[in-house]
Order: sequence, then C-alpha cells, then structure tokens
Amino acid sequence: MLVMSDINKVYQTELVQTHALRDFNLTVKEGEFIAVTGPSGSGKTTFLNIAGLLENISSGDYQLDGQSIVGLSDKELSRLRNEKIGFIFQGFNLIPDLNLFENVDVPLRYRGFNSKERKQKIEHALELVGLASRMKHLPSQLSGGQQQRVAIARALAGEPKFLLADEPTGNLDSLMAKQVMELLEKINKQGTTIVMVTHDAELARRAERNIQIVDGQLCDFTMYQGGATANEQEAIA
Amino acid sequence: MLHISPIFNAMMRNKSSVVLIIMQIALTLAIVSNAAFIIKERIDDMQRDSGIPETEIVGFSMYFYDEDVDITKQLQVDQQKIMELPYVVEATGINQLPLSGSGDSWGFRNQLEMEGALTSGAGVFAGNSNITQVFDQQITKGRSFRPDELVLRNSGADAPKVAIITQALADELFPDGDALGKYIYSIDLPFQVVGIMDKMQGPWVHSSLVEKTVLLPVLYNQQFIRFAIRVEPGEADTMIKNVQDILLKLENRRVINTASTIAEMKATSYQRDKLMTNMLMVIIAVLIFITALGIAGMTIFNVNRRQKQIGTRRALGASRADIQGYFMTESAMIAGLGIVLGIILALVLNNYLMTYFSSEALSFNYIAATLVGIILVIEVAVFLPALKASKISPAIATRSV
Ligand SMILES: Nc1ncnc2c1ncn2[C@@H]1O[C@H](COP(=O)(O)OP(=O)(O)O)[C@@H](O)[C@H]1O
Ligand SMILES: [Mg+2]
Repeated sequence: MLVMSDINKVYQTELVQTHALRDFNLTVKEGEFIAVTGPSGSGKTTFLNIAGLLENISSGDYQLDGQSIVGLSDKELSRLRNEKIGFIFQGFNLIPDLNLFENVDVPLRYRGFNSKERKQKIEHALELVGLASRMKHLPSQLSGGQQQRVAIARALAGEPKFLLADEPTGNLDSLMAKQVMELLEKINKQGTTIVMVTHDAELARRAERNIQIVDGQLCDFTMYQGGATANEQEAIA
Repeated sequence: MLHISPIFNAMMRNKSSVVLIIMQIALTLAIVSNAAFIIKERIDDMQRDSGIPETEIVGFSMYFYDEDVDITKQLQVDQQKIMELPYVVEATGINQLPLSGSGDSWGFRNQLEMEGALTSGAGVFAGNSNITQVFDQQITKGRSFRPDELVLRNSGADAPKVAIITQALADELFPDGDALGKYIYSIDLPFQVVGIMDKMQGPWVHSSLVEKTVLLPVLYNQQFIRFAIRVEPGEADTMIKNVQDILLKLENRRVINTASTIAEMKATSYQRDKLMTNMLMVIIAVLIFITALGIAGMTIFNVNRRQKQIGTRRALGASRADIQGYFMTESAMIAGLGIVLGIILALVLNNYLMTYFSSEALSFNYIAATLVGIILVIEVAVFLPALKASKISPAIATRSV
C-alpha cells in the first residue's frame, strides 16, 4: 500500500517558486497497475520521485507499505528504496561500465545478499526478461528495448513490492514499447504493484487504472472517461 | 569493502582513464621512497659523531711570508702565549683541521714488505705532543705522546717514531685486535702505535677515510700552516675575535686568516648535503602534492561524468555512505595498482642509484612508509570529491536523460 495525503512539493530556486504538487492525495493498492498521464511539466516525475523516495516532500504525509517516511534518515530511506521499490527510467540508466550481470547485481549488493543468492536472483531476473544468454555483454552492445528489459530485470531482481516507471517506453519504437509493456503486464500479474508514467495514451489504456496529473493536482480523469471502478473512485476522492 | 570486484571490473573497462594516474602514483612512490632514503643517509652522515668537541675547537690557517722566520719555534711560542689565556684549554700548531675539507692523507701498511700487507689510507694530523688533549681524545689503549717524542721537522731532521691511531684504522690494519705496540708503515717509515683512540674524524667528511686517523707528534716547518685551539665551553667567539691581534703582536711577518670553530667548518663541508636534502624534501612535497591534486582532479572529473550513474545507484538503494565509499574504494584501488608498479620502479631506481651513485640498498621500510603515506594523502585528497558525490540528489536519475 502506498498512501499520499495532502502532499505539497515546492521547488524553490533563486528566481521562482514552483508548486510541482498541490494537496496531492492518492492511494495505490497492492497489485494495481496504474498508468499516470498528464501534460509535460504537470508534476508526473515529481510524483514518481516522491513515491520512490528520491525526493522529500514539502508538506503532507506519505505512507509506504504502512510506514510513514517523514523524518527518516538517508540510510533508512536508502534501505526502503532498495527493499521495496524498483525503478525503471526513460533513459534505461544502465551503468555503461558494468556488464548485464553486474548491472542487475547493483541493488542486490546494496541489499547485502551473499554471492550465491545474488547469482541465482540475477540469473532468474535476466531469464524473466529473456536476456540470460547475454549476461557478459555491456549495455552498449544491446538495442534500446533490450537495455530497458535489463533495467526491468535490475528493478525486479530484489523482488520489490512496487515498480515505478517514468516513461519506460519513451525512448523506444512502438514494437519494442509493446514488448516492454507486455513484460510489465506479466510482472504485474505475478503480484508486483506498478505505477507507470507515460505519454502514450494507447499504452495507458492497457493499464487497469488511469490517473492524470494536471498542474500538480490529481484529476479524476478515469471517472470523466466513465471507466472508473468503485475502487478507483475511492482512491481518487 | 563489499564492492571491490565490480569497481575493479568497471575500472578495467576504462583503462585509459586510469593509466596515467597509476603511472603518476608509481613514479611518486619510486622517487619519494628513494629520495627519503637519500635524505636519511645524508642526515645520518651529518649527525655522525665526529669524536671531537666541535664547538670548543677554534682553528685557522696562516702564512709566514718571510722565509727567515723559524716556523717550528714560532708555533711553540704561539702555543705558549695562547695557552696563557684563561679561557684556553689546549693549543697546537697543526698541518690540518678536522671536518674542514682539506688536508693530508697517507697510505699505511701493517708490515714493511708490500707483498701480503694490509693497507689503508688515513688522514694524518701532525702537531705538538699535546695533540690528543687539543682534540679532547680519550686514549682507550696505550698512552698519549710524551713531550720528548716531539719532532721538529726542519730540514734533515728525523720523522717521528710513534703514532696514535683511531680504532677504525686499527681494525683495518690489525684485524686481530693487537694493534697496540705494533708498527705501521708509510712508504718505508715505521711508526710504533703507542695509543689507540676511539674516534676522531679526519678532514674529508665524504671520504671513506673519514674515520681513519693518525696523529703524529711533529711540527712541520711549512710557510702555510694551521693552528688549533681548544677553549672553555662558550669562549670560542672571544678566541676568534682576539687571536689575530695576539699572534701578530708576537710575530707580524705572517698573514692570519679568519678563525672559526670546527662546528662552522663542518657546516660548510656538509653544505652540499644540506642543500641536497632540502631540495629532495621540496621535490617530495611537490610530487606528493601533484599526485594528490591529480587523483582529486580525476575523482572530481569522474563524479561529474557519472552524476546520472550516482543518481541511479541512489535510486537503486545506495546510501550516501555507499556512494562516498565507492569513490574512496576506487581511488584506493588505483593507489594500490600504482603502488605495486611503484615498488618495482623504486627498486629499479635504487639499483641504478647504487650502480652509478654508490648509494646504499634501499631499505624496505622506506617503501612501506612512503606507500602508507601515499594512500593516506590520496584518501584525504579524494575525501571531499567523494563527499560531494554522495550529496548528489538521487532525483538526478529521473531528471537527466
Ligand atoms: N529540481 C527542480 N527545481 C525546480 N523546479 C523543478 C525541479 N524539478 C521539477 N521542477 C518543476 O516542477 C514542475 C513539475 O516537473 P515534473 O515533475 O518534471 O513534470 P513532468 O514529469 O510531468 O513533466 C515543472 O514546472 C518543473 O519545471
Ligand atoms: Mg517527467
């Protein structure tokens, strides 16, 4: 469970103050697959960063898996990120000097698994995304779609509860985007909660729940479309 | 030290970016350890005990320009007058001064026949029979000279019959330890060893003969001659100030050069060494500074280049301490590779110095101390850039494409 209550996020630079999120409320239930859409600059990435503990909130409360994250230390936040959250980025963010095996290994090492456990988890994750045979390759030797699949393997290897994806298909052509989307759906079916920011309306529609962020606020887009479930209405309220 | 192997692998895939800094560290280690060793050798030399009270002995040279002066007699008159001064302990005319850089050396043998003889060079001090007292020498075996053993070396006179030698020379010529009473020979002149003194350095501080010294009871009849005076502690300056006036009043057909203490002569003799050690210390400091700068610069460059990677690692669960540790570990690894190479280079360089500059074999302690120093300096230099890396916001992972 992921519960955001009255969250505000204000960026203060020398010249301007940007209210990236305003009185933001959202509940994500376990096992959901949520697609987040919205215009550029509306606060989608900000929302995802806060959900993934990459940024602090200015005010409000955020409960991740039943625990409030307000006031936690860097070490505690890092540990939570490592254990509960998997990240997928638009730019894949594989580490160029590490091969696929070592890339997937990164979060597992921070977790402190021993080498046997890690090897098994890495192989399993790479098998899931269909790249087990290329463990020794460097990211630069792969196509964009393959790189994103490795990134998904890396996000999943530690078996997090939540998968957060910021435009995961934004840099891919439509065929590869489709493959990645299918992979995410498969993962969601196996029980991982997924929150995905996307520009692609078609992909968004495939998610079981759609939300829209406009100007830092949640819009009950789903209801407007008339496709909202009872579940979603409650969440948006 | 959880992450050694991936850090190492990543580094090896980027060899070109670390090769230069590894070489720099290796060279620094090689040069600094050898330089430190040379400094130590020089400082040891400078701090060696000369066996004489350097600050209490005043020496000077003088030149009798009138050939009518009876020089051996004048030296004895001078000595008597000087020794009447209340602050003077002993004095003698002499052919050379210790640690001064100039003087006489003779070759000596342990037997008359050349064949099968043990030989050694030695610095020869020729002065009055009180010469051991002038230099405050303790005779460890045998005795000092007797006044009747003094020879005035005017033309046709005999050579002295007796000698006092240092333990170092005795060991060289008489390895069995029975030098006392034996004869040593220079060309065909025999001298009986009547006394052995523990230590008295000769004039040349850089020579292997410096510890091998022979004292002879003889006053030379030479126009250019020297004089040595032992004063009470703290009275050297008074003596230096007054000595010319006093002696010129006795006999003015001579030029008396400015006197100085043996300590001052020693400082002059070691000036080159002092300069050398100072220069090497500057080189060490500069090299270490440049290496620190180099690795700090490399780390800053890497941190900036890898901002996105750092953000990604943070997003994947790295704490600030993990990120800082990453860069500290990486630099320690680079230092380690540089050090392995540096140890080899240090030994090669030392070998070269031994061959061409008669330096000694580098003790491993110097390499060890230098490498510990280099690691410390490197980690200190890397600390701030690594700390900066740890403060990079994890949000950069999603904010930069
Ligand atoms: N670090 C920051 N400093 C200042 N303003 C920021 C920062 N990050 C984002 N913003 C601003 O916050 C708003 C929301 O940005 P973002 O969440 O990236 O939008 P989206 O992902 O929907 O395009 C934008 O106006 C953006 O300029
Ligand atoms: Mg965005």
